[in-house]
Amino acid sequence: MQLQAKFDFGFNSEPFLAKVGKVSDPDVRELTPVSTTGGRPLCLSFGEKNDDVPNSVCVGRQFSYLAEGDIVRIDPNAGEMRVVFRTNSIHNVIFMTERCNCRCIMCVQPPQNVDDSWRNRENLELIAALPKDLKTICVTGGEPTLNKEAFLNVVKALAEHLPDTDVHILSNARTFNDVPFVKAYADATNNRFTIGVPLHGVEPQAHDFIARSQGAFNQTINGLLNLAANKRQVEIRVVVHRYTAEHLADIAEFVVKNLPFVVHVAFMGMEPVGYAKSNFENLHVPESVWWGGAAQACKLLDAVGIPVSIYNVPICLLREDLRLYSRQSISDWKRTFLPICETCKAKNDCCGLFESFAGLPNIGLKAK
Amino acid sequence: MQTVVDSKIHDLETVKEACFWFTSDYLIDIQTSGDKYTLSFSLKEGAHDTKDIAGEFNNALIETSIRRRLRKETEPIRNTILACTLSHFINTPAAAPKNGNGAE
Amino acid sequence: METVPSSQGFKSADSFAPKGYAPMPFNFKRLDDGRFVLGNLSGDFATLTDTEFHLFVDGKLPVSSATYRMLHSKCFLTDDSGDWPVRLAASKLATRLERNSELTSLFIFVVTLRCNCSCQYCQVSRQSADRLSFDMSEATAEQAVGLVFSSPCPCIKIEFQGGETLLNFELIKRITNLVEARNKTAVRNVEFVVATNLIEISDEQLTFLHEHSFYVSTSLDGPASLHDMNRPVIGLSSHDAAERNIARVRAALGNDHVSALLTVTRSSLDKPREIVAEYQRQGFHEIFLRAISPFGYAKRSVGRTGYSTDAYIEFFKLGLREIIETNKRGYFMAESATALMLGRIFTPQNEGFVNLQNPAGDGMMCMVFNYDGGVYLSDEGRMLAENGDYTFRLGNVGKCTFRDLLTSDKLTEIVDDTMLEGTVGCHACPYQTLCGADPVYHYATQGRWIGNRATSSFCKRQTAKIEHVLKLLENPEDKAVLMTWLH
Repeated sequence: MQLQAKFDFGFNSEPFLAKVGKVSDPDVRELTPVSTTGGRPLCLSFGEKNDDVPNSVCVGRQFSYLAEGDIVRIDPNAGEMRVVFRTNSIHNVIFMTERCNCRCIMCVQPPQNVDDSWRNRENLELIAALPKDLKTICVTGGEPTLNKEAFLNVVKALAEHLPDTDVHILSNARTFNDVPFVKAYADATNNRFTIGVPLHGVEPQAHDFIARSQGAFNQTINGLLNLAANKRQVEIRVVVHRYTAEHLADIAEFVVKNLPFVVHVAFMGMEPVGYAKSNFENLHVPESVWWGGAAQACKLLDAVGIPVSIYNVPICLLREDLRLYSRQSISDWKRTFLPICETCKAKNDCCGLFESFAGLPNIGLKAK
Repeated sequence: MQTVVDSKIHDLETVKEACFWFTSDYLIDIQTSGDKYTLSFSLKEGAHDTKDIAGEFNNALIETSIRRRLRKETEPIRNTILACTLSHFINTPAAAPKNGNGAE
Repeated sequence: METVPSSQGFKSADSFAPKGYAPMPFNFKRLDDGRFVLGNLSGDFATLTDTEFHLFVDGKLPVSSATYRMLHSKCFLTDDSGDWPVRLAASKLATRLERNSELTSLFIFVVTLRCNCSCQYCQVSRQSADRLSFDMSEATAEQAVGLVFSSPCPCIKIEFQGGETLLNFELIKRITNLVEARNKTAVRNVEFVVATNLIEISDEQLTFLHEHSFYVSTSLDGPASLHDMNRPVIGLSSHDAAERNIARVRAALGNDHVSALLTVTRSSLDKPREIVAEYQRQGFHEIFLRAISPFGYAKRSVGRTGYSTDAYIEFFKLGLREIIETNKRGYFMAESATALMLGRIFTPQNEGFVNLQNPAGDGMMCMVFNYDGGVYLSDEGRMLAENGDYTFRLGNVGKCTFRDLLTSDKLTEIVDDTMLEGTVGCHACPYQTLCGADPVYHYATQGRWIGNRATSSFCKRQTAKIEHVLKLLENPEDKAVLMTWLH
């Protein structure tokens, strides 16, 4: 699914957000600005440009998925359009920044050292324009909490504008080492907010090596404890690859003993983009390597009542006893199946593959 | 069984602590003389005699002295852990001081 | 050593290695030839070879070794990576103590001493069934309920004991109704348990128990021959009666509302397999291989029913093996003491078992209201009183407030004296978090509640059981079964 492209909008202006109106003509989408900084109404046309209609822009048919209520970002000066919210998707995000305080060896969003503080105002505008019945939204980056003030503004806006929406924040929790910041976060939020925190090992030599940042483990653990002390929800995410595959049972035991308050643990297959792609040969291990450890880990977490899931691994690559933990985890816009999957009886329950797997060496899928 | 301990190597507190578990099966007498402690182990009636009790006691002395050293070395961290633990209770609302008349 | 291609600017694992380390507080003892076991106050455990141990305590353990990293993850050492092990240790310790800080949750009401059975090891010094002067009065019951609701604990368990409790069912009903009435405003989480030999239970009684979601705790010593020998009743088989009534209780209250307690007597010692098989036959999924207590009639009949600690330990090991094999054959059954140990090893929670608490759970977590209004700090303490020893009597329901009882000089002294950190032997024991002060047991067997651990059968039993379970956990197949006992 394509989410952005370049077009000639025919005018100059600061970037602005616009919402898709009611669809009466299947070949046309009417956009109304929702920004405070201007912009103008636009008409996206999938067919020929219609010179009679003012502000008509011809865009490719690949955007015909746009539905009423979807929100796009138009940057007329750069000639760019990007879809930033889709009503029909459960995988919408508030993207805070490309900067990060780690450089994990399997990172799918390699950090860029840029000043993208321009996102802060736009994110607040986007939140204000979101539908109140939105079920779930994700706040991510880079490391979304790097600019503490901007992050607090975003969570406050979410709590205010979307009180019935579940918010999932992907953060390494290092900034929550800062106690006043944790308190401010706790004051602004409630238990609709969950912070998903990656754990790469049970001690710093393992964890910091993967995060490629000295002090990461210490700050993450302190952050987790501070969040728990302030009664805010956290979950643990473990990306499974060569350096973690043989430690899944140890990680589960560590979580059960030291972080018993977590609301969920996810073991995640790698997505081969970013650093994960460049390091794929070195990082990827056949799933069978970690089935035993995953089974021990899942059984233990289950026994003590901590919900556990396996993400991003097709059902055919999971041992029988692990399939009950498999979830539909891959965002619709980057999910695909292979031809061999068409005859598979488990296809409807399967998370499928990341689109980015296409073109990589055969990873052993078989239809069931 | 009699055994002699050099008090320059193990002080009296270490000797006494090392003796403790042997008191289940032995009556132990400690005599001091110069730099030496002389220990006499006599088997209690009906108790089980350990092979090489002198060797076992020597091991116990070594372990006890390690214990005592570690206890001293880790005392500051132990106090930090305890302070941090107790702060969990002081900072929770349930631990807020009741009003003065102690009414239930 | 792990490396990732340097073209990505990756650092080698070496660059994340610490410069040195310091041990955190812990206790240790020799586990077997060639190994030490370490335990710390946050409830983590590790085993090291002699060599590793000496390197570790001398500051020479190689910092990138698997052993170093294991010890670090379990909070046995700190290094320049930060204070996280200290914070985790404090967090685990606080979690354990939270249970203790909630104060009394278990309230035992001894509604009568009358009984219809003559168990050989009876701890209760029962009176025959027709003596009403051994029933609790309504006034006592009401005052006791008042004390229950003075406890700040959010979760309350009301347990009815006796004698045979069902012989005074009217009072059980009254107390239940009183508690539920008070709970409308107090809004605690309340659970009711009744301990009964299930020789006789009426349909009306079952209906009442069902209406109030009672749990029933009964006794099952093994197959009929063993059970009836231990627990004789004139004119019938107590085993058959119990079996019949267990089925009726299950039908009325649900399968998981009935549990059975085992008392191991000398006659049980050579029958661990038969006992486990009987528990399976009767559909129980939990069994407590509990040693006989030195109280009441058990003390008097020790010639017939008693046994040495070594004999008990042997029985425990055989019984546990049979239970594990039963699980492997597809029938789930957990051994209670082992499950408790596993909970303390793998989780930071304190399950609240009164006899294994530090500081002592007597009084602090459990309070017993005897039929005559006497308040005791534990059921065993009450049993001593039946033999004329009132050492563990805290006061009387009519004369004391909850605060009076819990801050009494006597209770304070007992809890103070028996804290494991201050008890010789326990002070340096790695198993501290798996064990507890048991003041009444030590008083009954040794004459002092502090307890001399060198000669204590309690200590010998605990140590043997703990070490046995730690070794079982080293076998992957046994560990897989044992981990299913966690909850």
